[in-house]
Amino acid sequence: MTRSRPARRTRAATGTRLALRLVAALLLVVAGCRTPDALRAASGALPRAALALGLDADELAAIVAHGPWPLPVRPDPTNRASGDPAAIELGRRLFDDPRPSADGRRRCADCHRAEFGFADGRARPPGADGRPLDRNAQGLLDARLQHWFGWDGGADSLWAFVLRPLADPREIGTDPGRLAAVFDADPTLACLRRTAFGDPRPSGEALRVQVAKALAAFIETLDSPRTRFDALRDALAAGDADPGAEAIARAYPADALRGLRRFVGDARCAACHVGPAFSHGEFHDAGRPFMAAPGRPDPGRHGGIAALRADPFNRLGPWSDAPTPDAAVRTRHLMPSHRNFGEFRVPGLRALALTAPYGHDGSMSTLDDVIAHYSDLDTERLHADGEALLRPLRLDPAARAELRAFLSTLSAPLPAPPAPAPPGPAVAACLPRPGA
Amino acid sequence: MIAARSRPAAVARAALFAAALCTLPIRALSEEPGATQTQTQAQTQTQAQTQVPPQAIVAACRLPGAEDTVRRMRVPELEIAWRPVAGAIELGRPFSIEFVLCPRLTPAPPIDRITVDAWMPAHRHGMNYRPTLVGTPPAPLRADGLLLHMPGRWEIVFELRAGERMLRLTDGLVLR
Repeated sequence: MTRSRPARRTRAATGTRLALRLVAALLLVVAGCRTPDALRAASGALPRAALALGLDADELAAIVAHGPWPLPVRPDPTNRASGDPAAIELGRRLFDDPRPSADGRRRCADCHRAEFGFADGRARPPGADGRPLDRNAQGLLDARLQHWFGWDGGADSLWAFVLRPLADPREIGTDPGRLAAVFDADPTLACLRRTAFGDPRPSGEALRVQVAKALAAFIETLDSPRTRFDALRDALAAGDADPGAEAIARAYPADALRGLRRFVGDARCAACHVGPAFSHGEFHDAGRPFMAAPGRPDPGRHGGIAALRADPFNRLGPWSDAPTPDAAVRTRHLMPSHRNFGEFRVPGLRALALTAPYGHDGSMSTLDDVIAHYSDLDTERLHADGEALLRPLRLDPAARAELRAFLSTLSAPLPAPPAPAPPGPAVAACLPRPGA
Repeated sequence: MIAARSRPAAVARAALFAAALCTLPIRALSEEPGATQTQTQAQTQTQAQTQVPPQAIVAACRLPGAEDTVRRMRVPELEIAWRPVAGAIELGRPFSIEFVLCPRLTPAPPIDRITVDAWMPAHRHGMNYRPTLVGTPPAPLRADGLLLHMPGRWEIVFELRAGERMLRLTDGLVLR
């Protein structure tokens, strides 16, 4: 059967129209696939610095969420000495003073050394009996930003956390009588204590709490420095209002940028390492070993919650100085779960280069070990109760190097201690006069 | 069967029901984590099941303050209007929500327990905190102590136990 020529032309024209419509539809689909980032970029919604780095809107938002840095200082409402100059000076001196310890030789500064980001560079520090403690000594930089303290979150304030090593005979192991003797023997410390907390000097546990609050007031001042990442983040956050933003962004190392994009992107590291301190401050089973010693598991968060709830020094107790119950809202609503077993606090990542080794037991010596752990993660090892967050990243060597390059930009050398500022009058009144 | 009713009568019934619903036996958490206490009040459930006109549902389902901040979720039996108490929900910060339960059927199923929770479907985990329910009906109830600790999509989950039945209402939100 044959068709007439006009009929064939009509069919051809119809086919052409259909094809054009298909192409148009395909273009629309493609355009749709590119939204919202391409359209935002086209409309100028993304700042030039972000466009220069090829970031999309989601990446930009995720990166900017890791700042600004440093965060404003907010006194701890549970600690009336928080931010008090005399308490800070008292804490600074006690931090480096062996006299309160049970053997007169151990100092906080032994396991929290400035050159290691106030960690100690060892997997697990030795206790007073010479045997290693159960966990790695955590760095103290940025501790003021935490809500839970210790790898198990067994304390809900920095001062309550400090009470643990103060009382533990394997660590400082002080007692109120020994503390009273130190104050009796040192008029400067006695004056600082009196200025911070008033008279009369308490005895018993109340004195140990005052010492813990003074130490916490000092530790709160230990901020990690700004880093190359912060320069990039601030440039991206400034948008086009800052004419120098694009140049700052372009100066960020290319390999670190690729690592950063993976960190906030498909590696999903930023699900837990989120916010200016690079930690959501909660707990996770990351598939690390949890045996503190052969035959003795470390219960992690499970034990931490139990300890916290039994602790008379928690935020719900009478030792808290908070004027309202708002400061205890986390503690009051904390929900224990069997999945807490083997969970440990998600550490912040700032000053990471200083605080090796890594993990709650210090079992990862280097950043490469950490990256390898997440790259080759054994999901069978996880007991996360059906949770579907962690999976092996399967990173090739280049990707691992890029992630390490990014993590390296979260650290900067600690600045040399500045010349001490002249003390305020309250502190100066307690200090020995030169030549006296 | 749907019975025709005059609007004023339906509104009155809806308001009465809303007040009753908020004072049904509610299992509320005490101040101590992990402990529970029960508040029980009498209720009347005598009328045949009847769908309430949409106008009445809206009238009975308001929270004080700006309407555009109220979020709503519905099942055939009832509607929940809720919102954060102090503005936007922020990542990693405790927050409270206030809410009212409103009937879509009269009488509504006898609710004997309300729980408020939040859930991250993609990660298959919830919060690390257990909210506390407080409030004096007929004022809105409030759930304190919620905390969403990860960025991503969360669901606010209300579970209402009505005898052997469990009504589950969810509302999604994305945190960055």
